[in-house]
Amino acid sequence: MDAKEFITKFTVAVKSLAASLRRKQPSTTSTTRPRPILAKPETVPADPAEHASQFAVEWYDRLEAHSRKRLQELGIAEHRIGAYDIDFGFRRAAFFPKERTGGENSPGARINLNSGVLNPELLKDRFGPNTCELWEKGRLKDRMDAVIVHEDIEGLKVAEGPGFSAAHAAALAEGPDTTRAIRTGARRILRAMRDEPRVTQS
Amino acid sequence: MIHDLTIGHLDPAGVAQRRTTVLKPLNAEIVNRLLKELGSTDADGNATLGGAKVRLEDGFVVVPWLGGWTNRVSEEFALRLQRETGCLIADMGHRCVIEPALLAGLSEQANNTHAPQAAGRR
Repeated sequence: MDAKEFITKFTVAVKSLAASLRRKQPSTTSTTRPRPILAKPETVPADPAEHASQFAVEWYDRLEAHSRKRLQELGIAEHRIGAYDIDFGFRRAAFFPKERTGGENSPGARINLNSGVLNPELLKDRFGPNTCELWEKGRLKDRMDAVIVHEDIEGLKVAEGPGFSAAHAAALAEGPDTTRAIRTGARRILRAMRDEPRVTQS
Repeated sequence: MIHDLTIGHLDPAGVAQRRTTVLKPLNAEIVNRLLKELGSTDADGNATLGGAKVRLEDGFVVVPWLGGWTNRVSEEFALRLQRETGCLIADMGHRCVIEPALLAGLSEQANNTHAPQAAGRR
């Protein structure tokens, strides 16, 4: 084989190898649908109560765990922690994400918190301005403690039978003097709820 | 923490389960008339009673009741609505039906089993 023949054969072999390599390259076009990088953003409701409820539904697991833990830490008996939430197939829960009143008590003086604890405007038009401000600026833990104490007293009073108005009034009056180890911020909220003079209704 | 009154033709059996079952919708004309008589509107145009927002739901109405004080205007609204339509008044959050006799309204002649809100306060 002379040099010219060798070069010709070598060139053919290289071109053949290059062609086979080109065939083996993966296709750049994919048949699968590209996944979106982020989920579609949810609209933030203008109403703070609606926003709180939306957030609570999304983060229910954390809020449930935290509420249950705080109720236990404050010494609420296990059989009084949580109630049945009709909005979610009667699951027994210490936190009701779709309810908006802060917290509630059920027969048996059972206590649950709800999305109202996330609403900075929960007490607006229901309590005096100082109470509303303390609530608005209060930390979530402070708000939770205040609600737990209020519902604790109210639930026990309701069980004694004086009715909701009287039980609610008793909870307002006795809340700040609770012996439960609540946070300072919570006691401040409860004091304001008790002491602030009523606003004249329009 | 705060209490609302849920007013409508509700199934009383559902109240204990916090289930709002509307048997028939409230007469909107009566509701609107009573809201005009007793309430006002806020800056956003929402109906209010005693200065707090009213929620008009599908066939029933939710009015503010207990907070730092008892909302007597809401009580009066509930009493008049109950008198005119025979509907039911409930505290759904606390799973109980509220008998009209337990509400004072603006007449201040409440059954004594429900002490005035200010009684326990300094």
